[in-house]
Amino acid sequence: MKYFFPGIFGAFLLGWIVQIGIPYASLAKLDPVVDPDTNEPYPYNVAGLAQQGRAVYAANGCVSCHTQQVRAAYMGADVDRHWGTRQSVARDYLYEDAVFLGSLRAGPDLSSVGARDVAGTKAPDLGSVEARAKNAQWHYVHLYNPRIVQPKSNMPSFSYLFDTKKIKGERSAKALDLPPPYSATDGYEIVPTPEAEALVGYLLSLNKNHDVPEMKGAPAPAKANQAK
Amino acid sequence: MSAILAEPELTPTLTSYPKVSEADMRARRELDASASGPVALLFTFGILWLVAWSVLNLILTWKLLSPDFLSSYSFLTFGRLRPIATSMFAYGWASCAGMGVSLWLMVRLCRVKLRSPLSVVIGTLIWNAGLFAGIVAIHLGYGRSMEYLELPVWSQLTMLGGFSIIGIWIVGLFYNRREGTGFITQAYVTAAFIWMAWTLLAANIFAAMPWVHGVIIAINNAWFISGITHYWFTAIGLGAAFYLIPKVTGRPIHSYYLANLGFWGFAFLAGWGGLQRYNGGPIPTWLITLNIVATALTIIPVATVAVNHHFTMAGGAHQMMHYSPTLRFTVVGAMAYTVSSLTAILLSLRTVASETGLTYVNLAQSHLVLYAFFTFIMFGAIYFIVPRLVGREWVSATFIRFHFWGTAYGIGLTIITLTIAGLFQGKDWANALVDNTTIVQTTLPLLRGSIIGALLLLGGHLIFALHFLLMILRLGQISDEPTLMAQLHSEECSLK
Repeated sequence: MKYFFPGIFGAFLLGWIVQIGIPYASLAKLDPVVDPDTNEPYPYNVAGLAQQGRAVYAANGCVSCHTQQVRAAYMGADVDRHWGTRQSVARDYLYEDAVFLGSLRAGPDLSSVGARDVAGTKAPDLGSVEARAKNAQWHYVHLYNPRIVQPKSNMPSFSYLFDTKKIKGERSAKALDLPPPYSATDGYEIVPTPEAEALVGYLLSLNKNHDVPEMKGAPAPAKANQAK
Repeated sequence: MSAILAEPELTPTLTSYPKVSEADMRARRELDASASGPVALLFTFGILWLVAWSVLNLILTWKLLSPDFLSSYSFLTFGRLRPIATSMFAYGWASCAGMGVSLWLMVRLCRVKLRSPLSVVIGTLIWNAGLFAGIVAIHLGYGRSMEYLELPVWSQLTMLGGFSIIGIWIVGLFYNRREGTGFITQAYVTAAFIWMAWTLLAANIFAAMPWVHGVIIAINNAWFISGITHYWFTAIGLGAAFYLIPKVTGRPIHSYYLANLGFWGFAFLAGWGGLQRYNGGPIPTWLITLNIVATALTIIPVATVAVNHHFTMAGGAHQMMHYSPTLRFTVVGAMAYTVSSLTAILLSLRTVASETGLTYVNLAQSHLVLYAFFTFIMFGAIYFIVPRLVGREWVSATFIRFHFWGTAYGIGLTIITLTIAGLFQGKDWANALVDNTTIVQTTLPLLRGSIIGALLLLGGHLIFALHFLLMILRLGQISDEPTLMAQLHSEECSLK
């Protein structure tokens, strides 16, 4: 009996030290990698709009259905599905203060959704203003009602992230191009709220397709993603 | 059948209350009375949360099939309701029921009166107020998007405050206990309260530290999930089963030595087994391997518990499950514990996880642990305890039967449909030629099946809640005999 309290405390502490304490100490040593050509560090700490968008992503529980981790080849076809050019590693998440690894894939993985040409622009550089605007528009329409672009999707509509406004003078540049029956009635337009803009900004910022030393020498996927 | 009849000391709590001396009876009544208020309050909160969860569970299943259902309001979006449902179940129903059962068991087993029921009532109110405020916060978009840690930090720390008040009394009862049998239940329950307080504190504080970034947050989250599952729910479930099964069958625990061995094996392995959910993911591989090994080792404590219960029940006591609601719920729960532990080992292996990882199979597994195992034992315990709180017997055997079969079929259907849906999902995600929406469509027929499961659960819970309400209003039967689920046949009357 006199071993009861020390025993249960020891059992608890042992598990905590090995699973949280030691990994914390070792992961804390990770640094960003610096690209020798461009001198840019990776990963970079997202700021501004994308940072706010991460909060919108958390607030609406996107992680309930979408993971943000590309798993090793022995776990499935994550790389073949072009969810990323390589397996995700701890370094990719260095600056994230909410890590959306997720536990269920009711929908596709989003770890590098920003590197995906969702709108099918086939632009050589997805970072170009035009390609970016087209992909952003696709995300807006998809969030407004996923069934507009993916008829068999069962993702919920996030129409509450959009406002229906009366058109005053010229139509807003941000207004969504929606097909009937989704389009607004005449004289009205559907525009994203600041939350929707932040969320799409965040989604477009998601790109973990960057070489890291721990993944060097890994076989390249059959079809490389067209990330920049 | 004759095997039961042959056991002379067998009968006590199945068909009538034990024949004990008048003084002993009075002592028991005084003990029960000291804790009856707080225990009844904890059960009331728990059952209210359970009913709320059942409705939400139905809405969530419906939303998967019909994604535009209730989607125009931010506070009702799937991504907010799902964490709310998890919190309602884990912190509302399961924790409140667990605390109520623990408190009653500790007062009874330690043979010490609860000095200050009022402080436990206050603790209960603080816990539930913190939870309620946290749920409203998730509705409004302040959720943390960490499984089982979705409630904001302030909400969880408020709940921890209320929890600590109750926990201090539990530890106090343990310290002042009179020596005697029943130690194994006291050990599980006392340890559960201490472990739960540490786990809640450690995980919340760690995740909130501003200098903590990166995958360690996900590791902390997974460690917390295994912590709350094992250190809290499993410990209380096993503690209650170790009291109820011997009590109702009138047989002592088969082997105290095995029970002790099982406890310490459990203590050292319970904090493990969360991280294999990231199999193949971006966390250190050695950590996952270590967790798989620890999960495989749980076979030792699990086997000791299963063998112990089996031999306690062996030789005819299984027949009693036909009559005693407490025994039926508890034994089914204890069996689900063995099954869920074996499936947990299976699902942790890399070869299996490559098929089942990140699919509905994991959801089915958590239903198996938190519902088929833990919740069933809590139902069994509540059927045992409430008559002793209010001095009346359960009103209707039919209600109990509906409750049992509704929840048994409901959870069975949910687990089976989710498992099959998950296996399809895993197979299809692993084939890059199958596109996303095809995978969604493949799972839909099975999710339709789980709608029926959700309806059955809701029905069972409503009957149970109504029955509990009647008992609390003291509308139960006045009788010397517990309400049984089936009439004893004439040849079995000698059981009395």
